[in-house]
Amino acid sequence: MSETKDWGGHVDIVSASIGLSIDPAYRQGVVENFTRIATVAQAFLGFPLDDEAEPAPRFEP
Amino acid sequence: MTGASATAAEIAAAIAAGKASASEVVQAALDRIEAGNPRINAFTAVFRDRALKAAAAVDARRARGEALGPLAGVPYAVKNLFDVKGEVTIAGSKINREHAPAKQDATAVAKLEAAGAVIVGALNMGEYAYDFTGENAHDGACRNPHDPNRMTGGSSSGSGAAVAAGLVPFALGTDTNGSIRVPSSLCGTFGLKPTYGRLSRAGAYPFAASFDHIGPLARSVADLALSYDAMQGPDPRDPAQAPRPAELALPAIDKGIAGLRIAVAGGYFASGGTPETHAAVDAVAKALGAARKVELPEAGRARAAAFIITSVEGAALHLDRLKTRQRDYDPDTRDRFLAGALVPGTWYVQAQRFRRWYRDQVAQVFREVDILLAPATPCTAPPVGEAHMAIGGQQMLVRPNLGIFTQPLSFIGLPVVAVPLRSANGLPIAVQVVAAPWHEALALCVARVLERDGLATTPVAA
Repeated sequence: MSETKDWGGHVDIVSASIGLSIDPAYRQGVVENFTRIATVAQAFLGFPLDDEAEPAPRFEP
Repeated sequence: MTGASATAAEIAAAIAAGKASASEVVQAALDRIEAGNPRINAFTAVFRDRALKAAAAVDARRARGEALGPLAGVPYAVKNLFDVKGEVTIAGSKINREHAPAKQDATAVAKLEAAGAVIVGALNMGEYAYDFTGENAHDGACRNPHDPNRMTGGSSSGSGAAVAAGLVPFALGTDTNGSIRVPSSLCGTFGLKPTYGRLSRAGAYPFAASFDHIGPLARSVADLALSYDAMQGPDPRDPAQAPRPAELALPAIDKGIAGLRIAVAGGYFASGGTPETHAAVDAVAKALGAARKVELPEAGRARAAAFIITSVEGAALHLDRLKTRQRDYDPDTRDRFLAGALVPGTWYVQAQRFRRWYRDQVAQVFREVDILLAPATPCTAPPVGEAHMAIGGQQMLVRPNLGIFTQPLSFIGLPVVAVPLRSANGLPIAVQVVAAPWHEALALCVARVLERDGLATTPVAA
């Protein structure tokens, strides 16, 4: 999962599976934006958290 | 003193003392908007009749000898995602223009009216608040009053521009990832993003519920405190509001900084901006005698997690419209909303798990310090339409990167005051004064010292 990965297939399959038909004119922009999301997400997806580290059920700062 | 450069406190005092009437003050603000708005495109609607009626009501109350609220007769405006009774809440979009007019005022608007403030209009914003630039395909770019060829920052673009231009003394904005603090920095206003859960968001069109906040922008610290205090108080209409009593800030803002442990945020926050960005932090640290540096652990990952949560929550909110109205979105938000709909659920939950971990780490930092200083934006206002900027010799996208320093803080709901300075290139830039949760008053106190000493400055743009 990096900028070199082609996320076009993911965009096509997931959008079809959730009934979100993407106008062909916008597909390239969506792929670029999804690629950015996937790249940014790597910053925390690899970060080790204990199994007990739950999300805050009601977030309080 | 009730002109373009007058503060809300000065206007309220003049009206209370009978030196000016609310009607003439509000009429003057309407005149300033009519004359000044074409240059900056800050207002998308002006509520002339409502404003003049409300002003006349303030004058009538005074004539009857009744008590006046702390903001009696003070004109102000709101980002156009706040509900205003009888008006359509457009949230910077084309699609929401088809909505029915709001049946009641947003809680913040109702509370400000109860304090005597007079709403005069609604302000331009980035579509559905998914924006850091102030550009908008439907209403046109909002323009920086200090240089109309430059961005205001967003998404509370009109709020920053209207206040910086002296059209109104204060305005309401919202901040999910930096949307109050970024325009405060680029336009040169004070801005307050309170603690997450402090002020009711009811009647403010949502974006990413985990991070949505409301707050004021103003040209003085006292005006931030005045308007913030007027908006405090419990509201069952906002499920995220914390069950806490109002804690008034205004009485505390002149306490000074003696005894406060103030540190500069190092690590992630110490690089990544232009020289103006880091010079502003250095100047504030020097003025406050803050020699200590502390690190917020994993702030870069925090920003990344905020980015993913925002994309998913925003896309979920808009999914039905994305299916049927794609062409009606602003091209600058559409592809990002569409991409957010395709993010795997595990990524979102990991980001939320990380958020709680990070909150606990930062809580440890706030055992050692009371106030953190951090940059607000990586640069001063870029030219309108600029897609790329060079920072430290590296080309980067303007749109996602204007919020690199604000996102890791709103991610865990910390209260922040954006304090504007004048940078060497002549444009404004702000520093974030960050406090522990629920300590807005401390951050305002520090901002007040910087204002009093003249380092923080908010000249009305010519």
